[in-house]
Amino acid sequence: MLKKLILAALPLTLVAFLFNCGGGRPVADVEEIPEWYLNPPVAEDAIYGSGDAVKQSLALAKEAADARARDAVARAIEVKVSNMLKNFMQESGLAEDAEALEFTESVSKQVANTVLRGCKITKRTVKTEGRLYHVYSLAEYNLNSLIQETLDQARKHKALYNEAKARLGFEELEKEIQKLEAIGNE
Amino acid sequence: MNKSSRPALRGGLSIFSWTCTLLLMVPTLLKCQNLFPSWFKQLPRTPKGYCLSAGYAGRFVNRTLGKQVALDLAIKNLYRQKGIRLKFKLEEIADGRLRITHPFYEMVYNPDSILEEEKDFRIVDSLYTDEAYFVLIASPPDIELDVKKEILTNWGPRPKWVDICKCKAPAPHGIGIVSNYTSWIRAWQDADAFAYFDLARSVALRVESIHVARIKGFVVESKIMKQEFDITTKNCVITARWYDKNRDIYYSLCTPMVKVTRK
Repeated sequence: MLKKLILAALPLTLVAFLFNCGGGRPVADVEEIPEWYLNPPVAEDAIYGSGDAVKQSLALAKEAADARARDAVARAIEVKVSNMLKNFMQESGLAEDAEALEFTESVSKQVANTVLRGCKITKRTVKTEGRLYHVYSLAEYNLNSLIQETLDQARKHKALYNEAKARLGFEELEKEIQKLEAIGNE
Repeated sequence: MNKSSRPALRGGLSIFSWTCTLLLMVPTLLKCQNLFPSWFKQLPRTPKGYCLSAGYAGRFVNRTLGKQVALDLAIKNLYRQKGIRLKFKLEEIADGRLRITHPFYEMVYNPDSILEEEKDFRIVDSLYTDEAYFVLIASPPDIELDVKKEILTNWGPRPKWVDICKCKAPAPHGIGIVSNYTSWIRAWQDADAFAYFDLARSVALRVESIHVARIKGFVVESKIMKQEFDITTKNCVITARWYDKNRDIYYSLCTPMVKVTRK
């Protein structure tokens, strides 16, 4: 009886496994991709960068999408592009029988290293693709806030300088008072 | 039936009964999301210098213990509001074949003094349902707040802050999003923590990355990305929560404390 049950259950289990493993990763419907992801907005006073990520964990998908969007902004701000174009020409054989082989290799390298202050995620869309979460993020870096941040830093430095100057003044005054007191005591 | 097959049958039946029990318990566990105080969804505004903090706990056989757990969480949230050091690091490596994303989170708070009830805070409101315990505390305790004890049965329509794209000029804020949690308590705790990190990330973030694209008939893209921050946030609070019941997604909103002049 038990053997019969096991024999009956075995093919069912195999079928279940086959159906479960057979399905590939669902692909995002192109029409569902946000327009701002494909064509990030262009503005004079702001820099935009978009990013996306597909993960099983929604929290991780959001983190990765946000990070990629901010990375795009960072690369737009400070990027050192070094392009190397290598052309190799090879020729072998003789006269008309010679065979020319041409290899073209292009290597593009982008290095970004910057600190983003006030870079916000202004748009975010979550799509489900089967059991996966597809998150699209749009990061905005307002150049006005960047300018303001720089000015604030400058003001802070100025305030510190003035404070230091005032403290020096007080120290000098105290020295003068001490001198006067010393004279008075004599 | 063969005697030797009996233990296996018993084991199978035991597993089956446990699975059935768990399946029956899932709707019960989610039930608590259908009964909650309004201040858990939206924190009331407080006068300048005062802060509110919400705590929550699941079902406890011992009600006193449940209350204590919720209160401990509320106190923890209060510490977070006063000041918290957040360390974040995200590394991503992609070489065209595989992609590894490794995030690292660390929350450090060193309270100068241990907060005491009636001296540093007081319980403003609480709600005990069949499945959960909610508590709201206020600090300093001398605050006179008229908290409307409204018990909600649903999360209502999708709030504006969830879809940030609807706001034209978003104020500094952080949104924590989590999904697929069996425990609603764990889900809210993680969503709250992620919201803090999200807020800190918009303050200052070091971004380093190297992108290399090799075009040799086909494109092979390699990438190394590193993002990190080490920030201490002060006066930031979880002001709103929303649960998307249809998609099982938890949202938490973290904002700098709203400055309201004292009447």
